Amino acid sequence: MQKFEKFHFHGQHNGEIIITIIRRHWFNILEQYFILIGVLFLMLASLQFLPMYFADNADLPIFFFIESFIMILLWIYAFIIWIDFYFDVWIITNERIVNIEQKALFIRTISELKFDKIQDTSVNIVGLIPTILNFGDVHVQTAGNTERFLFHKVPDPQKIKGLIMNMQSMTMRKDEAEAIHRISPLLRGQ
Amino acid sequence: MNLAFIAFYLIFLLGCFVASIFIIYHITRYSINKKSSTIMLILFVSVLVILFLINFSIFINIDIINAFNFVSTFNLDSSSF
Repeated sequence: MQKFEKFHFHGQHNGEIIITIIRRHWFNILEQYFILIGVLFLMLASLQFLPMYFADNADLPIFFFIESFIMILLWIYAFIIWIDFYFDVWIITNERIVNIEQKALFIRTISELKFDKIQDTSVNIVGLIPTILNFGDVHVQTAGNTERFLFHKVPDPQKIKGLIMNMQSMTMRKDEAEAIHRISPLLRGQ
Repeated sequence: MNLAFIAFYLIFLLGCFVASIFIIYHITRYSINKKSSTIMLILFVSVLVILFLINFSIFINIDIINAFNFVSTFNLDSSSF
C-alpha cells in the first residue's frame, strides 16, 4: 500500500487507500507499436540507401524534409498510442474498484464498483501469447442487471481475481461486524 | 507553388502544435503519478522540439523554386543495382 501513497486520482475519497493500480499488459502497447517500428525501420533504410539515387544533390533537402516531417508525425502518433495505454487504468482501493478508460483524446469514461456489489469473478486467458505471457481478462459479475465489470488484457489475471475476492470478503465481514455492532444494543435492550 | 508549399507547412506546424497541446494537456491533467508524468512530459517536449528544429532548419534551406523537380532527377535505372 505504501508503494501508491503518492498516487492520486480524481475523485479519490479522503482516507481512501490505493491498494494497486493495474494497466493492460505491455504486449498490448507493443502490438500497436509494431507498425510504427516497421515504418521507422523503413525510414532509416531509406535514409541510408535512397540518397544515392538522387542525380542532383540539390534535391536532397526536400527528401530529408519529408523524412523529418514523417518523424514528427510518428512521434506524435506514438504518444497518442501511449496516452491511450497509460491512462487506461483499473485502481483497486480499500473501498472500491475504479475503472478509468481513456478511449481516445478527450473521450474518457470513469466507472466504479463497490466490493459489496460483487457476486462473482472469473478469468479468461485465450491464445498462445496470452498464455505464455500470462495476461487476460478478468470479468467481475455484479448484482442486478448491470453488465460485467471488465479488466481487459491485464497481467497476472489470477492474482487480480484473488485480490478482488479477498477485498470482497473483507468488505462483507466488515459490513457484518458493523451490522452486529448496530444491532447488539437493541438485542441487549430486549 | 511556393506559397502553397509554405501554406502547407504552416498548416502542418499548426496541426502538430495543436496535437502536442492535447497530449501535454492529457499528461498533466489525467496522470495519477506526478513523477512519471513529469518524465514523459520532458521526454515528449524535448524530442518534439529537436525534431521541429531539424525540420525547420531543413525547410529554410530548401530551394523551393526547384524543389519539385526532384522527381524527374530521381534515377532508378538498372545499373544502380
